[in-house]
Amino acid sequence: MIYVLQPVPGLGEGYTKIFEAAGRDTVVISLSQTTMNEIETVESGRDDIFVLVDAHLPIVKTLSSKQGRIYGVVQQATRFSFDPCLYDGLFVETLWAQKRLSQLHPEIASRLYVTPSPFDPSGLLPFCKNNKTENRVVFTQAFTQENLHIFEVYLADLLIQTGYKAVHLFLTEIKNQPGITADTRGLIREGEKRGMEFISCETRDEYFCRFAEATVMIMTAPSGNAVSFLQATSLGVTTLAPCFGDFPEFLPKENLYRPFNLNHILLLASSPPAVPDIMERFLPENCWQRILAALDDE
Amino acid sequence: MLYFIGYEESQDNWTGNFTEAVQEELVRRSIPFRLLPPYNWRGPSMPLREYLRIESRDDDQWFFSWAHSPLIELLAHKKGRKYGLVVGVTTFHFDPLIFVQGENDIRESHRLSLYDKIFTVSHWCKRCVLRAYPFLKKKVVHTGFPHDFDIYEPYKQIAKEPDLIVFNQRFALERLPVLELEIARMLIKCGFRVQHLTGTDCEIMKQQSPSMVSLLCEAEQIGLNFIHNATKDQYHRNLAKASVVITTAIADMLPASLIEAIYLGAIPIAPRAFCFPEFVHYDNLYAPYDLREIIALAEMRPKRHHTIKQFSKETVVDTFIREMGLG
Repeated sequence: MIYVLQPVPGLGEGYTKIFEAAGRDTVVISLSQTTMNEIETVESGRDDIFVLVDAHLPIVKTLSSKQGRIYGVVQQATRFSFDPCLYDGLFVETLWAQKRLSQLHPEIASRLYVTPSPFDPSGLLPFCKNNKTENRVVFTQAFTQENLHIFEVYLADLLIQTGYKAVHLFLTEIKNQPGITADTRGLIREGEKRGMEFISCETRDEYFCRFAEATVMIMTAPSGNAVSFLQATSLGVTTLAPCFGDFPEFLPKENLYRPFNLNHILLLASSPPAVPDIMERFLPENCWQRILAALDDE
Repeated sequence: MLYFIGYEESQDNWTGNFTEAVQEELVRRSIPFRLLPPYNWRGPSMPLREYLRIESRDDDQWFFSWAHSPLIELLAHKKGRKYGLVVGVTTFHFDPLIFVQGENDIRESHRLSLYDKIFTVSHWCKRCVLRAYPFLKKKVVHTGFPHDFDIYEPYKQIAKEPDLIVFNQRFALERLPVLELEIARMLIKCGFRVQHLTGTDCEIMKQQSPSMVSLLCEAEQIGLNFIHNATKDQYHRNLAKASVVITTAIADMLPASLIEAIYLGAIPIAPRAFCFPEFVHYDNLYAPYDLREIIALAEMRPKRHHTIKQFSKETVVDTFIREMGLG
């Protein structure tokens, strides 16, 4: 049995599809809709596998007391706040992330598997819009200090002053965001004062519908993962990210700005590059073999 | 009579010896004044009676070193003209007050409107005040913030360490600590030693700002050395060794930390924005927040003249006095 633990509904769907297509019994546990008690009562066997779609979630500590192996998907190659050796294996998407995590936690270097996260764009196609809202820039990264949220608000202010609409989309209630602090609340107030919109979407459909209205998605985080780029691409939204960290492994150079040059971001936003053609290697049919091989690599 | 309300002076206060320096200048010019206790906005010990007992006259002056102080509301009815020094504006650019005060209204607009004249620490600060409160147009004057450069003299002889690059800004949100770490990582890779000088012990910083814990751990991991300076003397000694000082502030009205570093002979690297072009030479400014330009400047080390003498206590207090009609 493979248990796929999703932090938010939808994230990690590609993994589920791969496991199901390979004929593995798969159970999806949506962490936002499951109580800790329910997770604690899962009775796993020695051959079972847990795949935690956000490896930084401390719930792995609960899983570690169960039988079976645990794999995590690294969404951002930052330091773990707990012992990452709780994992039998960690999936990272880029060589950069592999190197960064090996430096941060040398003890897990041999457990890192570099593989694209499987992504199936078909579910997003109905949200694609031909009539975009003009000059609408969207931010979908987690609104955290690590992702330079203050820089994002400052950039949004500059964009608004030059005639753009700037929106930060949340897939959950803002107040339920992980790591929401007084600073974060202060920044949201500051952003709103400057005309930035912070929208908590009640459903995934609403989220992708609003996401698809944008012309450009901007990333200000120093590192990240492919999911938001792949979602943006599926929705016909072009993306801008710093030429830094792991982003050059995801995006063509036309979509990369000089890190973290505000003027260059504004310049690229004013004449955005085409929606990047990055989907191919992330399609489940193109990455399933590497993922299953990693799971079977005891 | 000039009633002067200064700052509380302490080791970790960014205002340095402001109160003492202004007093010295007033004495040197034989200007009669009475020093009142600073309004302590950190604690409950506000000496209300002492303020309220004063019977001022129409031709007296009141100088509030922190224009945002609630004290102005308490003393607005007193006779005499009121002057306040603005060091930050909450309506603009991530002033730390917006995070400290939370949703509480600090009544900035009302408080500033009670002054006869408002002094600003930089031209940038003046622009921010006027953009937020255009109705204050006739009241706002740029004065600068007085620095007592004499106190740095003993440290100017300390030898520079050529490979030492220092951050001495606050390790706080509006200083972009995430970028500071990335820059440190790149500089260390280029062979530099990088330090962050702080007046607060790292463990206390972690307790005060839980959101900084992971960044402080990261700093340790990459070799960015946090140096805790328990005294100003220790801080100045360490700062004097730095060859280059970098700031990544995304909000600053006038950074005392950079001005003192420049006076001690460090090469400044600052964003081409906010107040920085007012005193840092163009060649030492980077396009905000271009990491490659910052690294290139740290390697090139342009030695230029920076116009920090405009912030000497003599020059700034001259302006205060002139604007208060005491000169």
